Amino acid sequence: MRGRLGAILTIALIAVACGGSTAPVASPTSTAAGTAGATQAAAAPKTTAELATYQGADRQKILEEGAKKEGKLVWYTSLAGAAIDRHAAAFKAKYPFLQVDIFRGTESELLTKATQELQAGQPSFDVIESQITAIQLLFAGGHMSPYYSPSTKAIPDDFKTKDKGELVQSATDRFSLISFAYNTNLIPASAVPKTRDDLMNPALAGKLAVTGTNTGQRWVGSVLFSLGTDKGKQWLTDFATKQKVSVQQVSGQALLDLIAKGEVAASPTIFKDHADLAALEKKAPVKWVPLEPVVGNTGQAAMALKGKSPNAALLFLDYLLGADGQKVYRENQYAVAGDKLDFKVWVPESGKTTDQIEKDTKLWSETFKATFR
Amino acid sequence: MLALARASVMVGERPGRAGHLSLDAYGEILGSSDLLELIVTTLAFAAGSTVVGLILGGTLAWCVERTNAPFRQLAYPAIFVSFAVPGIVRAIGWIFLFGPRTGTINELFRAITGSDGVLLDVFSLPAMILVEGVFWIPLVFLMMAASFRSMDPSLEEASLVSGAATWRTIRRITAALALPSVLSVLILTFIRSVQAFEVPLRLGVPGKSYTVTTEVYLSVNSTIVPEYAYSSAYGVLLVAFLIAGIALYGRATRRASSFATITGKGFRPRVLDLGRGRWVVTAIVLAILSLQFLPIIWVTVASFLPTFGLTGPLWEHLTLANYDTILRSSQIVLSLQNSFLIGVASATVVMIVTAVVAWVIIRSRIRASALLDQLASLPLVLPGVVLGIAILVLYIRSPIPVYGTIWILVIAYITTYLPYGLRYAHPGVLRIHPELEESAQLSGAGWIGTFRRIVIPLVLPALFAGWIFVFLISVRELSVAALLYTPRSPVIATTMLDLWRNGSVNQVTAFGTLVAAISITFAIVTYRVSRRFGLQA
Repeated sequence: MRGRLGAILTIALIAVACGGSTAPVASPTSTAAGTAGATQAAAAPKTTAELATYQGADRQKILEEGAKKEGKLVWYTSLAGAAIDRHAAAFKAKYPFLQVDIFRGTESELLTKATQELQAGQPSFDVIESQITAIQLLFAGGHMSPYYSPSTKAIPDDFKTKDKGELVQSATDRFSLISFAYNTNLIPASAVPKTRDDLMNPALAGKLAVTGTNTGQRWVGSVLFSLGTDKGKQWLTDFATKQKVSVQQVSGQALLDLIAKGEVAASPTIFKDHADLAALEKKAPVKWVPLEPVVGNTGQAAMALKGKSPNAALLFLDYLLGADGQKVYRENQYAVAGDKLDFKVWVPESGKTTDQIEKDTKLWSETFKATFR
Repeated sequence: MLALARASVMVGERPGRAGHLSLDAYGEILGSSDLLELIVTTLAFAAGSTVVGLILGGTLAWCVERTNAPFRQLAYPAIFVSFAVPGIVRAIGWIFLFGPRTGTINELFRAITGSDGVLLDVFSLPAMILVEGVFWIPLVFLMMAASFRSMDPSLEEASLVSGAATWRTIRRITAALALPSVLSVLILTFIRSVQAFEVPLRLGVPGKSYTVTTEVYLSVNSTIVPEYAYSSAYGVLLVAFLIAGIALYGRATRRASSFATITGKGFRPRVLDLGRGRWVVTAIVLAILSLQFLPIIWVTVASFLPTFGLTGPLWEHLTLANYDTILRSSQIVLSLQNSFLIGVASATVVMIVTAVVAWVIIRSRIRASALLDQLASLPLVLPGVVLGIAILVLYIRSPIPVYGTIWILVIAYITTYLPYGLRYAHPGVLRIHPELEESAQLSGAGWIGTFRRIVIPLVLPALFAGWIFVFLISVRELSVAALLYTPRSPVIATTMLDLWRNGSVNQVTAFGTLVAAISITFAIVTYRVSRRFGLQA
């Protein structure tokens, strides 16, 4: 699987599995629109569902005119870091008449907030960008709309949860990669691990920390995945005991700051984009190295069925999944669909239904607790 | 309360799918092998923090109000500043000071002693107790200062005339008179320490000191679809435990008239002339205040650095880049505006309501008054996150269109801070001898007239202190706001959380410093205004 994201095959499995486990939201026009063809003249869309699936040649014109009237867009995202504001700025440069309101939260916080709002009939978001489980659960609740975006054509099928025809339920806009980062002043080159087993090097004892957030739990999942549950648990117990690993209940970014400061020397639970940006833009003494399998968080972009600004939402999805949005991601050290990476990536949601991933998350969280407490 | 109980037995709720009833959460908690350890750690943490906060805050209040130590009035503006700095920023500051590897004081300790140990490991239970205790100094100080200020000095004078030594008088008379306030503040600090989660989470988890709140927080955040049954069941058990505490407080202050210290006679609180000893007291005041300021100073330094771990002299790296980044965000300005408006609205409503409630509780002979006290105190025992969900669920479906505006936060804060307001208003009214109101009534005043012309003016210092407290604590509040804010209604605490998750620690420290600077300005203005009107915060 080298030379290409290891997630390709497994993402395809998600699409199949999730399609089977959740009922796609049926809109009266989705089938017709899905097969209408991109250039065929079509009646002007009247409802959100019609607009979302509209593929006529005048789509861009209709969306821009509609978005001008809407004036703003509400974007819910689980992204972290400078990329969020940079996306908003780049989108606004393209469509200056639109204001972008952003709500940032973890996957679970986005799901809670969106669900509460939707149940009360007061949805406030137009676009959600998150890991796939939250999006699939919202689809299952009937709160999301399949959509057509010309930008998804350039994204390989394996990175999309497809609906009918050209429509998608969601599409991958970025990968956040989690692995080992260290303070270059505190860890000598000889002690820098090349494989996960090198983390047992006695030279690293007492110097390692993991984050207690779900980033740390997903890393535990990667150990259980690659070694099998029993062997994985044993490896983690040995690792925690021999290396005296501490838990920092802070975000991956804050843990990286503790590494830069020297309070913690290294951690296997750091995001590549955070570490690379800190080293590149701020000259922080940190370096990120991949220890296979690197954990991949896939961000998926999806559209709300009952958002207040559907035109703006579609323009934003076109941007995020298109060349401009993908360029901003690359500049911020994220990987995007189709990137060539020379290490193996494991995507925890691969080939699993939402129920399975919920069960797995519980297992990883319990294992984390049993191991590091 | 009902929302909490319902959530504790409801499992498996999903978008578009109803949950089902189950008592599993209770079974899981009561059958857990960690339960005893969790309870012991939580009680040790809460009791320790309460003692530290009470001793340091009480000492500070006494030094400032009842002695002639020079510079003692510095305490008021200093307390304002430390009040407004969010918990997350303080925790970072303490890590800078007492981090086992790179903490400045631990490095100094190693350099001086030549050992390779630490003076204090910030990731340990004793450090958690110290940090949380220091965190409560402002609350204790403000409540105790109001109490010390309004004591009738004739009682102390009587003691001294009867031949008792100064320290005996302080111990037997001053301390006894302060008892209702001490009890009030003790219960409040203890309850809030039991519920505290910022310090246990940031400092306790790395040192493997888990409390009930960290357990609840970690359980809520360990699944994709938040399961509130487990955390709510903990909430129900916690509420049962804390209600017992509040009942205890009610019993302790039952004999209200014995604590009435504002009578019909005019007086000014007696200030002790300490002679040369006054400089020792100044040193004590400054030492207590420095505990507030040391972490904040380090935070300010960090706000001018692009990142940590840079080699070479510190000043070569100084930059305004963090301030530039945060000030570019429109959310920052909006959140400052929102926090100010919400703070003023919540504090004003809370103090008006609690003044009336406290008076009714203390003066009325109706049986329901005890119930009113319990009801107004109820939000105190509800964990913030649970209260946030209850308010979200209630108002998002309400025909009143408050969701998505700052008014839902005002409602939430009024609900949350009623008990705090009551803790200020209650001792304030308790100290007024009924003879004053009886005189007014004999002179023909009705109850509204009596309340407006007699009670309000006498209780005003306590209400003003309460107003300041509610205002500042609402600026800092996070757990309720985190669930209720939308992109159009951010507040300081949610913006801080955003920066904490998405920016770097240096950006968080820049925003923290900015908030502290604004608070200093606010403190100076309020202090001057309050003195002009004869009030002290």
